Amino acid sequence: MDSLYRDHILEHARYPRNFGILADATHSSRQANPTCGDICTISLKIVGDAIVEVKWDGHGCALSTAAASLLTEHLIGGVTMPRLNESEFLTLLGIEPTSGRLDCALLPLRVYLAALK
Amino acid sequence: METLGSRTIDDIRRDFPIFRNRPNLAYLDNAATSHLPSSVLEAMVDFEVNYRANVHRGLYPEAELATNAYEAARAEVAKFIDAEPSEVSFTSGSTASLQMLAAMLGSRLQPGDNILMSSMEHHSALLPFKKIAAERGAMVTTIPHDADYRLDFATFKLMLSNRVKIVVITAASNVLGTINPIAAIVAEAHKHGAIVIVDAAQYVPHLALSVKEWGADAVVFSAHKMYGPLGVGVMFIEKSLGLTLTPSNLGGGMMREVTSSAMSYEDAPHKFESGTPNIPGVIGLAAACRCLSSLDMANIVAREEEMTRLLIVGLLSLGDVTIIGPLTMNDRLGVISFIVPGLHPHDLATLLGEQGVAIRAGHHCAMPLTSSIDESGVARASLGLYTTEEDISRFIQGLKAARLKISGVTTPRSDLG
Repeated sequence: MDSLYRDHILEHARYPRNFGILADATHSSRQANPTCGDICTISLKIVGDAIVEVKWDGHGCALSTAAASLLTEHLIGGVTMPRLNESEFLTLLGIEPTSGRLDCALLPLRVYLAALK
Repeated sequence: METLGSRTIDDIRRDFPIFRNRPNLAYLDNAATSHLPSSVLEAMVDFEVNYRANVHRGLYPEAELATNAYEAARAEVAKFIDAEPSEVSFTSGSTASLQMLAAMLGSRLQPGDNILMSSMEHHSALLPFKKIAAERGAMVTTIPHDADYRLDFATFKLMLSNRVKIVVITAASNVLGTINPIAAIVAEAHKHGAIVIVDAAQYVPHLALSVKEWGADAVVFSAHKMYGPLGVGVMFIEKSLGLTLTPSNLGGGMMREVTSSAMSYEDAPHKFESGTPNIPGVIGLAAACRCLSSLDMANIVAREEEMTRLLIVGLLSLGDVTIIGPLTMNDRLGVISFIVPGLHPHDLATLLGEQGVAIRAGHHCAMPLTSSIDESGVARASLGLYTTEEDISRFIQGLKAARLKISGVTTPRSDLG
């Protein structure tokens, strides 16, 4: 069985990118996984259909932290991608979480999609 | 050589097929569910392949055999907990038993009445009684625990009054491992006329139980935590209380007579068992009781105390681990919740799982308690009669390896939400 805790996941969990909250966000959302205490806020500055800036804030396990970090890194400078689905996001993360850990990995994606609404 | 009574642990583990099939498994999640010995499986298969029939209905030989086995199982389970067979009803588990008790007793509540529950109750106890209290305009008040995670008995006594109609109390906490003084709680509650309902789900696999010594009005537990099958459990109701209760769940097998305008119930315990029961489950539960009795609960207590001590010492030897529960061995089970600084419980449980060590992480269906300790929940290792020194050693080594792997991950905690 491959470990979920691959080097790039641990690296992003140790040094999460884009941490913070955008003061001039055009879109933002916050969600929690009450069962594990993970909390994630994503704030975005979107001009036209381009994501100019993105930050995330919150706390949680290594998986949700790495997932938030990887997501924000992926989004910056791109165009809004409301259709980014769970399977595409897991490909981006490069791991296949067990069913019990899916919510950890997917929390940042859900927050991002909610922010776009 | 590790022993339990006169038998070696290796010999006992050979009775449990899971350890043959998963030789690399260090199973420390017994508070969630335990594994089955062959004798339980064989008793259930025997029913299924040799005399499968519904009970209390058919008049052919197989149906007689099924009914006899089912009622013999009831007698065995009753003996195991020092009760009368008529006081033992079978349900689908502790949760179902508690729902039924809440529904049956709740109809007696008046606005302003009070239900006392400890701070360490499982959701299965907490939620049905909160719901019924809200419906009846009654209150639910929490009995606090002290700094050593034990029930604050002095405060409990002060909370009692003649408005307290029901006390719901766990005999042993599935988070803290704390064993509560049930006999003393019942004695105090009865002085005020309150009915005491005991959740014994965690208690039964580890300690000898006498419902008579407790004096409790109702006691519930599940088979699957005591080396029995899933989907079956017990609702003990003391016989004088049982006489006064109207069943909440209606259906076949429990009615004496039904006419177009009236109905009358069978006597307890049958009036509490509507529909076809989980017959192989009940037969398996009785086999689990036989398994525990043959090992002798006193031997199990001695062995598990030894392993609990090893587990606590192992955790404390790591230096920075906080145990959430009593640190003294008296009146505590081998259910050990803990927090490792900088290591989220879910990360720890996954990393241990990758090494073949099974523990649980999260809120353990006791969110009011666990959220007050840590919003991320806690990690929990819980042992069983087959737990070995090697299991515990692998757990501690695995914990060290997990800590090393995740070192430097200190998730930012600046949530401003």
